[in-house]
Amino acid sequence: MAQVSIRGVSKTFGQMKALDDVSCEFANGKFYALLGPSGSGKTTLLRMIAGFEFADSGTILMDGESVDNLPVEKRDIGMVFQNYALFPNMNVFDNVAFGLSVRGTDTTETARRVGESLELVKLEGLDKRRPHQLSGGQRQRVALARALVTNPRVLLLDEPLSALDRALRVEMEVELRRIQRDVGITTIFVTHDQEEALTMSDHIGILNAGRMVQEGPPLQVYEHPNSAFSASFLGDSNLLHGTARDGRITLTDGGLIACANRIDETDGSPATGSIRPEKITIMDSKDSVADPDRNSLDGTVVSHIFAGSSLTYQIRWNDEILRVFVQNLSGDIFADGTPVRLSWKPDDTVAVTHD
Amino acid sequence: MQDNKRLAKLGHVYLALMLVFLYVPIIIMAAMSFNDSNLYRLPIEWSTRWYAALAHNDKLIDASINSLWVAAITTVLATALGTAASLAFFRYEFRGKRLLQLLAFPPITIPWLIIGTAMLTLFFWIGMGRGLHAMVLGHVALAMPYVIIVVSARLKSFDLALEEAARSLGASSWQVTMRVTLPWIAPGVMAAALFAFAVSFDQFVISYFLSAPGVSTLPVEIYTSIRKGFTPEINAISTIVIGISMVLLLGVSRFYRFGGER
Ligand SMILES: Nc1ncnc2c1ncn2[C@@H]1O[C@H](COP(=O)(O)OP(=O)(O)O)[C@@H](O)[C@H]1O
Ligand SMILES: [Mg+2]
Repeated sequence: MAQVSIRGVSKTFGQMKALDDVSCEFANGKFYALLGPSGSGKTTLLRMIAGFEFADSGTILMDGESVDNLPVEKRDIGMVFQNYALFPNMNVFDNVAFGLSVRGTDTTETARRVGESLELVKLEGLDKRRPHQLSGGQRQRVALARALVTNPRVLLLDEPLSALDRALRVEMEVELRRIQRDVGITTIFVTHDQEEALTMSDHIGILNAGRMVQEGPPLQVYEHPNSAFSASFLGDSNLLHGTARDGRITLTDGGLIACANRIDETDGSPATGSIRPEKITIMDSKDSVADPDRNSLDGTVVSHIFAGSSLTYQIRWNDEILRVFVQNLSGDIFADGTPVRLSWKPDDTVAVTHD
Repeated sequence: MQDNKRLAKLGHVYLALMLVFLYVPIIIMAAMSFNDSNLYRLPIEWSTRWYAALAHNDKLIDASINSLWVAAITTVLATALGTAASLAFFRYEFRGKRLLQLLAFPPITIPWLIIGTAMLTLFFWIGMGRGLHAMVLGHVALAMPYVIIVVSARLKSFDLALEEAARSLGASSWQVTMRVTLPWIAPGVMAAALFAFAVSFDQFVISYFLSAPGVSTLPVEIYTSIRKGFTPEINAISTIVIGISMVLLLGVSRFYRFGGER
């Protein structure tokens, strides 16, 4: 187990800046989700920690010691590849035993540890199978057992669930998290799936175009996005554009919005507020908002999606479409075309930087 | 429809002609090696006298043994070097890679006569001279491109992520090659080795140039004998060689699908 630190790492491929001065900490024993859209540099960063790529500048530390000059095979890592990369010429046992066998571990010790690993991933009894005789989920488990059998300092996973179908993915999310807790290993999990990142991790880092946009525990990043990008990439978000005025936002239609955080921009400069769809209350436009401190605006229902326990409305406000997510408490639905009033707490409005 | 059928029929005729053209001379030669008459008289009178005579032809026997040795050593060297080169081309991007890949192939495209002359000149110039050792060098240069082609074709189906997985598990480069990469490309390497053997065993021109007086390989010895006067013994030894070649070919096809990757 180890703490992994990234210090000011940059990497350019030709003209492409894959990583741009990235710094972050992967805490000992924690599950860290590296989240970002395709091409944002997640794989590059992960491969750099593994030792397959080398930074143009910056340094990578494990337990405070630089690993910049350590080749992959000396870094003591466990890695799960996107397509599992199981050795086709070996059975399950030999696949899992590989890391021990190259270290010259004796046969009884190897058998014991391979057994433990297979038990951990619930694959007892499949030792003799070949990779092509396994289902996708089973291959995934073999890959995990193989990566963990040597007790590596850090576990690296590059979108390991993306090849699985939805039901299996949900099952593996739970399994992966259980195994990670059991072993207590520092884990770096690369994904472009915000739901995976939210449900699985202790800590999220959002990458965009090679830059670390925001870091923090899932709840904190969700509740306090620092940028339009992180607000809309992690979870759903309504972005209201306007101009800064006295620490608040003046909307294009003249309405005034109060925010949870101070807006540092000088008056008159562009400002954006982010509101999560589930924080908004919807009511008939004839009713008035009881709490005068609440932000509010008037719009028209464009459409709604009824999902039994919940409802999602699309509301037209000026030229924008806002999304409102409500629980089905009353059994009433605002029909399409109905004028409605939306309101939400200033605390739920986060002023974000726009990029 | 009608046209298609006619075209197909034409194709069959063409194929039949091809096979006749290729195999009739060989079949006649094999048949005559069992004919008692040395004047190709018909009908064939069954006899193994030419094979018996072979057993007393020390020159042909020595030449055969030389051929086997040269082919065996060539096979080991060309396969090892060619496989290593294929792995390097597959794994690494480096400056001049394309050029190097191109430079490996002239032995296939340049006429053997010219290569033979060039090698002879060089070997004399550096004082190495002629002989079996020179022949081995020549054959290795000749066989290596074939090895590279066959092994590279097999490597195309290999997933580099497997090597990365092995390294991440602590395997050294040597362990990665021996335990992960080689097992996968083994069929290609086997096919390549058989190719290399055949290239060396069949080689005449370069062997002719590089053989020292009195020490030759089978093709060279056959050529020399024919010039002195043809005997059906040559038919006999040629039939044996063809038999061996056929077995080798079957061996190759076991590992390597011609015109495609297995
Ligand atoms: N070996 C490489 N050569 C050239 N460009 C690369 C290479 N690896 C990654 N890139 C580029 O770097 C950027 C980041 O890639 P990557 O780290 O794979 O992103 P992600 O995993 O987030 O999808 C992409 O634009 C990609 O095209
Ligand atoms: Mg990626």
